[in-house]
Amino acid sequence: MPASDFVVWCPNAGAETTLGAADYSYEFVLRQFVPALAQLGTVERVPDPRSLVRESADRPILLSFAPPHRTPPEVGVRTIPVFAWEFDRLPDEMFGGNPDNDWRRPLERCGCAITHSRFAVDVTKRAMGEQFPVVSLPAPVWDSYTREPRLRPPSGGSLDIAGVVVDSRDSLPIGAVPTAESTRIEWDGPLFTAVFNPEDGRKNWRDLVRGFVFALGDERDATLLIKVVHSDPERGVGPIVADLRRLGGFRCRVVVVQSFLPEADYRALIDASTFAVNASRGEGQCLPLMEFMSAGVPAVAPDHTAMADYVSPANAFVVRSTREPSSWPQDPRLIFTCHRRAVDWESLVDAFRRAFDCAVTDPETYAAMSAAAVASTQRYCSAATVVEGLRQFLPRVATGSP
Amino acid sequence: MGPAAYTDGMPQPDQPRILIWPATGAGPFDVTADLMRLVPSLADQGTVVIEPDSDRLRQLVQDPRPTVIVTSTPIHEIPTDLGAPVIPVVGWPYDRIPTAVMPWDRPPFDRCLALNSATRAVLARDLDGAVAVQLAPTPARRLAAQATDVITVPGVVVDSDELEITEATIRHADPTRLAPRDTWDGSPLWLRFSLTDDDRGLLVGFYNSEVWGTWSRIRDPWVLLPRTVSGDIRLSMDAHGFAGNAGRRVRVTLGGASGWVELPERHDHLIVEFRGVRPTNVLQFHDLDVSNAGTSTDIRTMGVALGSVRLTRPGVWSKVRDRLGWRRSHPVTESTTDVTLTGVVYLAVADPRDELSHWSQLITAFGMALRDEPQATLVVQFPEAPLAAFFAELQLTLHRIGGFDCRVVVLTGRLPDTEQARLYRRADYFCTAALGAASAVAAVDAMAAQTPLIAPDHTAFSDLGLPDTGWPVATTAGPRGWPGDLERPIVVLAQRPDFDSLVACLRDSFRLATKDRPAWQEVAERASRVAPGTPPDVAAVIGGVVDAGV
Repeated sequence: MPASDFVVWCPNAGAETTLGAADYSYEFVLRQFVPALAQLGTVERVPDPRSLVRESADRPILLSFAPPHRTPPEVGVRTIPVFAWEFDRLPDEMFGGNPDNDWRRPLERCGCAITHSRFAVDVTKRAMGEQFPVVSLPAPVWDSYTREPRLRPPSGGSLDIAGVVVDSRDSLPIGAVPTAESTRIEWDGPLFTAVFNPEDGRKNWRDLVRGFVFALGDERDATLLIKVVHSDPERGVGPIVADLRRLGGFRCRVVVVQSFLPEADYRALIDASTFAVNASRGEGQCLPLMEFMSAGVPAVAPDHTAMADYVSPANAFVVRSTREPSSWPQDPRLIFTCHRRAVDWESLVDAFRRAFDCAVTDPETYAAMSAAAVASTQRYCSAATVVEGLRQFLPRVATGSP
Repeated sequence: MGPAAYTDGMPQPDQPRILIWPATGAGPFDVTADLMRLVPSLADQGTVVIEPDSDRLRQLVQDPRPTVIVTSTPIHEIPTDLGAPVIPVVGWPYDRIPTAVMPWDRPPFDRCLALNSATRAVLARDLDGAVAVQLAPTPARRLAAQATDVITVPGVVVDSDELEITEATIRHADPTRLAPRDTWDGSPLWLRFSLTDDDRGLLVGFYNSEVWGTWSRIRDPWVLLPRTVSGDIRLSMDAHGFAGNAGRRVRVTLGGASGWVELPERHDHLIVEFRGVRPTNVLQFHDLDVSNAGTSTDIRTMGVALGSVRLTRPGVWSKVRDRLGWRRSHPVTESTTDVTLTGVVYLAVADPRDELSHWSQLITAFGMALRDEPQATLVVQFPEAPLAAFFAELQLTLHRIGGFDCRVVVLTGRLPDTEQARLYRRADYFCTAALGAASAVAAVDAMAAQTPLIAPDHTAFSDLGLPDTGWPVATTAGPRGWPGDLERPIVVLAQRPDFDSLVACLRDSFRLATKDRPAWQEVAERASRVAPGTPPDVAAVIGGVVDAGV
């Protein structure tokens, strides 16, 4: 094995084919971290740290992009779990016969951690003690996506999509979703864009879709584009279409897209979007929202969990939320051990209306929000921020026994 | 059964008739209890006849005497061709009347009675002023009764103090008390567990049902049989296993008798024969593998996949023996259960089949708010629901709360009036977490018995004097479809209680009841005063229709 300063590992290699699977987004986080780490030393990716790292004489630092209970134990080098968390209590009980399901155990073994929000840092410190070395370093996506702030809201446009497309302006399919094909989508007015996996229970997509239709149902020039993150169109698109049918007749437009967009097409989608939309019950960081806002797209989103670090009234139409009981997502016992956030649906409806009005009638405010989106995400998730954070954090944890 | 005349003696031929048409069934629109409370105030207006059968109602309308129909039938289900003026009694649990999906072009009535001001406002707005809406709050029933710590319940009682819930098992001190006391007669007993089958409520230690059936969750899950079974029994079931349970030999027990099945990888028909089963209503699986958490997208511990179970007698001789012996030795028995209540008692009355009742969220909030208070008891009364309507969700809800020292008691069956009044008197609070309610009839009766209210200040609860009479729970609106049908359009809003607000109300009210009894007494007296009396204008509304020459 060549000498490296950093070894990175993620259990979900090939995420493009496992979209929708548990923890699939760790792969994307790893990819974003590698360039930042490369500014500090050499980086090597390994498929199985247990077999390779143990042989190394160079004692690299292993960054494990996985939930703590999946962090490889006993690999013989300093290991830093890099994990996302969005509930108000860290798993601090053993369950399912795996002692590492009590996250305090693997975190104690590693002696430090990187997570992606101040919220997660606070939760981790509550479980591990105030002195536990844990830092918030999000995936550094800003530099790749940033643009000059917008001077006016984009209105109308077109996109060419190769994939499954369901458009509420056409008759909604009953049963099987359409097959993938090349489709040109053209629209007038503001475009609200949401990117999510509908099988991820946190995403609260029914509230999002229903909120949009209730808020802007009479507006022909309001379009919601949902980019589904799922490899199976039946499971990714089907439930959303079924819910749209229940919403009956409305004049606004909802377009559901299932496609793994090439990078250029994804950037075109960001550029065409007037607002990025999120109605989630909790976010570890939310890569799509960070990417859109880095590009100057204001948001309609709550400001809880990780989003509290970069969503504010200056750059978003903020959706209120309250607490509700939840279980840890990996806990099959389903016991209410923590809380998640319940989105205030009336507030979501109101945010959609205000956003639409802003795009149509108040370009100055929109431009200011766009600039604020670029600035806040720069502070949160630029390479400079993350590299500086790594530069300060790694020396604190690099020494000492692994 | 013919129509029930409310007045004594024969109806007078020259008097107008008031046909009371109570709706049958339950659910979010059911205000029949409210309607029946209004009947006494109508007696002066004419001959009151109660007729629940719509066909006989149509026959009665053929009579040439002036007639008006007063009904609790939901307004979207009222026929347009009844042949007599109709006055609906309406409580509405949503923010609007979805007129677009009504079966009629214009309402088949030109006036109606609204049970609360929230309903009146919705009706007046959405029926476009074409219908005169009169407020007719449900009169409280004030029964003289003393508070008592012991309530005698004729139905099934589920008491958290008798349930032992762990990660692996759920045990009840005496499961035979959870089922009706009648004995299985040997005819095939077939229970199905799909998403649409009521029997799924009899599963203990399983996940929520799917289209085909359901997966077990715990190591030793069981099925609560709705009859006491005994003797020689043949069990057939559609089942299979997953991961560590595929190909696994699993022990199945029934009343002290054991059998083994090997769970196949795909759904198959499995048979176990039991000999000499002692009387029981528990069919249990043992030692399932729960170590393997599902698939990459599914965290569930998948033990046995169960579609249905079927119990039959194994042979003709066994049937004969059953008829001659077993049945006589285990006769049908009727009994009651005494429930002793201590400490601060919270009472909820709900219908678990009403998806707006939100009862499991109330239990969750109670358990989390007062987890460490052994002197806190929540009594949930389901007067009209069988055990299968809630038992699976109840034990899953109690499990999800985790360990708690407070107590949850669920009562089924309708209490005699006096016993119900005693329960209202004994309760320190009446509480609900409903998303919307057509009727507040139980709440007003409880408040009349000096029981403060913990409730969202919406729909049927909007006129009950909160916050002076108790603790208002904060809510926000959320979209809903028509109840009970996943295909129906999403056109209305209901009010979602704020969980933290509900928890805070429960904690604050417990503190008041235990630390400041004089202050609690003041709230209780205000609650008593706000409960409505006989509505003075109801008779006038009916009389107006009659006088108008119906």
